[in-house]
Amino acid sequence: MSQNQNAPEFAGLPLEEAALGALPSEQQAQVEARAAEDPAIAAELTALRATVAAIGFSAKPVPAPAGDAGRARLLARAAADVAANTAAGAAASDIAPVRATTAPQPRPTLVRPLSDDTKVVPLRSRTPWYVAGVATLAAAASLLLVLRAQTQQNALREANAELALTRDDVTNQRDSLLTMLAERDVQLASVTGPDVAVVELASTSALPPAGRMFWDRARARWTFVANNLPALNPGRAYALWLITSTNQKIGAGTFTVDANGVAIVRAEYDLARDALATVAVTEEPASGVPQPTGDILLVGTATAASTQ
Amino acid sequence: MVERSDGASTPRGGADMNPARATAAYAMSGSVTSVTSSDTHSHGTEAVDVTLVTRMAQQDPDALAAFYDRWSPTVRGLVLRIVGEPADTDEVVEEVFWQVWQQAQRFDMARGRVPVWLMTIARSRALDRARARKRRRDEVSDTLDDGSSRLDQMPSDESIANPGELANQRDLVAGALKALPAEQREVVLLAYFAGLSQAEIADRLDLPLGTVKTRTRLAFAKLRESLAILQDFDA
Repeated sequence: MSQNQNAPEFAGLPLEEAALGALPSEQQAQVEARAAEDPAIAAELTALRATVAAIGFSAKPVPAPAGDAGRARLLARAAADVAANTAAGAAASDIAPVRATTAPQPRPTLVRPLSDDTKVVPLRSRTPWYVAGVATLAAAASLLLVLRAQTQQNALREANAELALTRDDVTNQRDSLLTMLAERDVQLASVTGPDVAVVELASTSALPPAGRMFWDRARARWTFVANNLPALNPGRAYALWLITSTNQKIGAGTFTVDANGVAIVRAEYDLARDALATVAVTEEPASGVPQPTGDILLVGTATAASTQ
Repeated sequence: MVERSDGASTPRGGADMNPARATAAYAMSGSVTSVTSSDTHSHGTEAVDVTLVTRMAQQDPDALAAFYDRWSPTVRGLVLRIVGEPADTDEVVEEVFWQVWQQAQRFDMARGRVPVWLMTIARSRALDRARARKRRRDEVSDTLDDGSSRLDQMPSDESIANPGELANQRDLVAGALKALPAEQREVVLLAYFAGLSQAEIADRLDLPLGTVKTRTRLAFAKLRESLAILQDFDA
């Protein structure tokens, strides 16, 4: 390698940077242009590029990974490239014999007539027929590999989609269970919480119906449980009333009972802690009434003890 | 020469391990030029490379396979050192050899020998990948380090297909780099492995640009002198 870096003809030329490819494209082009004009500069640049490339050899060689999928892909791509070029050459050669009829020209061929109708095979790009054949086979093999890989990829995608659906289902079920659990907790808290007032209701008839109102004052939740209420006639319903100390009658809803005379009514109504005086149940039209009209079947007084 | 951790001296590698011999079988299967077992030293290895590139230019996949087997450990080592991520390295190595395959027809001996051409492509593709990763992840030079901490890493002979000559050459280059004054070696490694321009190096090292230019020029002068013994950079 020459040692003429300090020669006058190189003064001011950033040849080291050019060899490293570290110049802006415009400057790099200027250096390349000077090198194209001056063989001495070109030789200097070539020598510097060799020095730069040599630095790369200081890196520790790393063997290919087991299986080396990259090598397989690379060779498959090359085989496909060869097959594509061969096909392109074949397409181009289909035109050649037509031209030959008007202007016969000697052309390189791999001619080995087997019969009178054997066609002349033009030599394409100096590629022997058996190389083209091997390349075609390789291309076919690589195509099969690609198709197989695509099939596997599609199968994996489908499996992944199914797993995602299953995951969503499980997530939904979990959320549903958590919601139910939360509702149960709320219901339980409505009748057992520390701030729940209980009003006992006693029957006013010979029948032994009974009821109990749980008033969760912190959450303004009302839970009424009745037992042994008689079955209702069609078009009739029981009505639950909250009667305040000012004798205001607040409808808490209508309800029916099951075959055992049992009913559970839940309601939400925000009432001042000391406003409740009485809880009552009457029988009313199923469509409901603004004020109680029927006989009182159950009644309970909210005593100071029960609502503290 | 660099003292190796296994205490072995260089050069090493016998005829049985010679890369030209190993690749002769590939060359023999080609339709253009056959490489015989006599092409086993110095210019013979260059002839193997030229033959393989010529055959690749003529669309011979076997030549690509042979060339890949011959050079991929070296290319992979360089790419890994620049990129830093094994997964990215595999992709870059594949792209390097794909570019070789596609550009074999344009290979120009006047612009440098085959290994120079190959290593230039490998470095360029690796720097592209490293820069892309840096842009994507906004990394702070984690992978684009100067590589000086790995300068002493040497491979085991068993790990590569053609260990003798490569190890000899690698030791020579590593020794030449180590022989440089630290401040000169630093700018060379930053320029080569991190792909930094001299302005970027000056900024990174907080040095005047002129100082970086001077150090680079001096470093290259010494490297050329030290590596003059390498008639070619063949495997």
